Amino acid sequence: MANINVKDMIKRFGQTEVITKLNLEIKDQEFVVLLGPSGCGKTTTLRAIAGLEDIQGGEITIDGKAVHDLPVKQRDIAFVFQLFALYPHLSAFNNIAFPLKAAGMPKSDIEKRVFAVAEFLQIKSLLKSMPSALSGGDLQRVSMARALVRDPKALLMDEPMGTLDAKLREELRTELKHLHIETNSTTVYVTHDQVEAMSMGDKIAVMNDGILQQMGNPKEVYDNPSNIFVAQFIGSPVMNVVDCNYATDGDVTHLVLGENNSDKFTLSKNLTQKLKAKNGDSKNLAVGIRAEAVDLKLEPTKGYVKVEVEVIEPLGPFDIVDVKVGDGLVRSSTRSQYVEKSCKHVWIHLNEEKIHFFDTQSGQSLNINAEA
Amino acid sequence: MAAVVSKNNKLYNQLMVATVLVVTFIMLVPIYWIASTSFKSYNDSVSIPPTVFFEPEMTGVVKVFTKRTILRKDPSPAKLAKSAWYEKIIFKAGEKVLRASAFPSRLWNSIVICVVSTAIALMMGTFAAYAFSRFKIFGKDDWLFFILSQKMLPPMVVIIPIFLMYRTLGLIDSYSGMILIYTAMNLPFAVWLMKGFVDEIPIEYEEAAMIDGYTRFQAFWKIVLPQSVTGMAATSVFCFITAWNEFALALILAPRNVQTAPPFIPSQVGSGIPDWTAIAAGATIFLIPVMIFTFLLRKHLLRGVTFGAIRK
Repeated sequence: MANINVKDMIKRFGQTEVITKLNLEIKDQEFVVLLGPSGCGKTTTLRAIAGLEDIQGGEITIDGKAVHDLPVKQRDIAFVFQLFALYPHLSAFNNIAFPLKAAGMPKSDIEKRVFAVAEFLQIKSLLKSMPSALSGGDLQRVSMARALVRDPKALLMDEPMGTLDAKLREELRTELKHLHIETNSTTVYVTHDQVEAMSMGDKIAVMNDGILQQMGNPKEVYDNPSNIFVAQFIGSPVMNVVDCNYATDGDVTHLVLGENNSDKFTLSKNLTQKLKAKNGDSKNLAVGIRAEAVDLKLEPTKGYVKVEVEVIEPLGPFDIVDVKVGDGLVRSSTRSQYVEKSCKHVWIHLNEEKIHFFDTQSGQSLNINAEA
Repeated sequence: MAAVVSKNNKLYNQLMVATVLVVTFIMLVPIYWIASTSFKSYNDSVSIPPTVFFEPEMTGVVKVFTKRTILRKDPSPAKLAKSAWYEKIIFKAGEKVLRASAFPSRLWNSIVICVVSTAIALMMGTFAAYAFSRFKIFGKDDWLFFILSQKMLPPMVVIIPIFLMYRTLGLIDSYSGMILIYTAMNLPFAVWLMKGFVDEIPIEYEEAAMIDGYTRFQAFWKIVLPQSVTGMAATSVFCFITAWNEFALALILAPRNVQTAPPFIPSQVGSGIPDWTAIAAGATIFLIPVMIFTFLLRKHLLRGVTFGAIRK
């Protein structure tokens, strides 16, 4: 296994630059998830690491050795395709044996290796089947076996669960995580599903428009998103991001969300100083707060603001209550059935420790809480 | 599929089967006619109304394989006893066998020229189709149109210039000349047909193979070729039949030793009364190699062998 470094990578298709100066540092044995919406360049990045796309600038190194000019076969990495790409005219056994045959391994060794990896992935009973006779999950397992069978330096996976149904995906997610723990293979995994990214990655690299937005472990990315894009891409329900104003009033800070709003959220005084220090007197300020940090009560409570209930979305374990603040909506998550349908008004409060402030012009986080 | 088949569905199926039977019957009548004529006597072959029931004989078949002359006087009993079965048949028809005809060698020429030219056209077509399908080629669409445009003039229009070129190059009446012209004739179709098939093979297979440690050519050889077997079978049947049936070019470019079967068969008409039994026998025998060729490849002509491993 090995570490992978991508330095200032640039990729163009014709005139369009699809990846701009991308830097990724993937350590040995790490499971890194490339996360982003479709068209953000995550798959292109993966393919560039594999050598399936050439790059127009920058450097890719595997174990310190520059590989971006090497042909695919010399990079010694494995790739799991979204559509599996099992060779349809070969049985599962021969599919798994295919990379070993390329290396000219003796037949008895090939058999040993294939059986070992099949045993490990519990697909021994499938070895004689043709790909067309396999179910989605089994195709996935066989393609994993083909990837793992020759101990590659790194394992690259391009949305390997994209075509599977939700239940199977959850099952395979666990399997894959388990697999990574056992094999400790350096893995780069591409997905647009933030749940998959959060649950599996040691590190998440969030990409948008060919630019790396943030890289960090799931908790960092969730708790300290570096900009509005990351804040809203990660987490479900989506983080509330609302334009805001603030003013000092005695020893508290009043925060006003949205326009045409007279409701003031009362927060601690030193917030004003922090915001002043970071943002000056700029008016381009937005507040970001996750639904679970919006506290909701049914009766008037000190420090809580009275708001109108718009919609209640029951999700099973918890409900999302959309309340009207100013002109906009703010989502709050409550325990199931806490707010009843007949309820017209509730009182909310923002958990100050979990508030994020963003510069609406640059979209960057002001990191108010990160330093506190 | 569905366990319940509605009445309408059943009726529809029966109608379809009936239609297929009728069409098949219409298609097979000419083939039956030519095959049966080759076993008719001369009188049966020209009688009006045509005979449907007749006593089969081998006269036509023997005639196409022999050169004959008119029998001036009946053979003596001693000579009759010595002669072979086919000679007796010809005596009965009032003729005498001089020697074997060139028909077997003409058939052999056809087989050699068609098999080799089909193989070359298929190979070149597959390579070209792969390149057109997978690589960035400057002016790709124009090239493809250019290739197809080679088929646009009928052979009769270009046959005189080709004849002159061939005469200069010494390719008249040679295997290489005939193979060359048939390859050139079939190549545009081979490229276009194979491109359609190669386009359908997802590129991920080759990428997977290259990741697995193979070169692009190995990936082509081990992955793309096995999966385009269906297309190659269809293309080769198409090319083979086109070359096998070609008449005009063969008539002009291969007049003697490497003459193929199509110009040979009508040459049996000769002067005087055309002997349809001999011509029918020649045509029937001429059908057999194509039948065998298509029969051997029938398994691959069925589509759907490669479906299922990539989900779209």
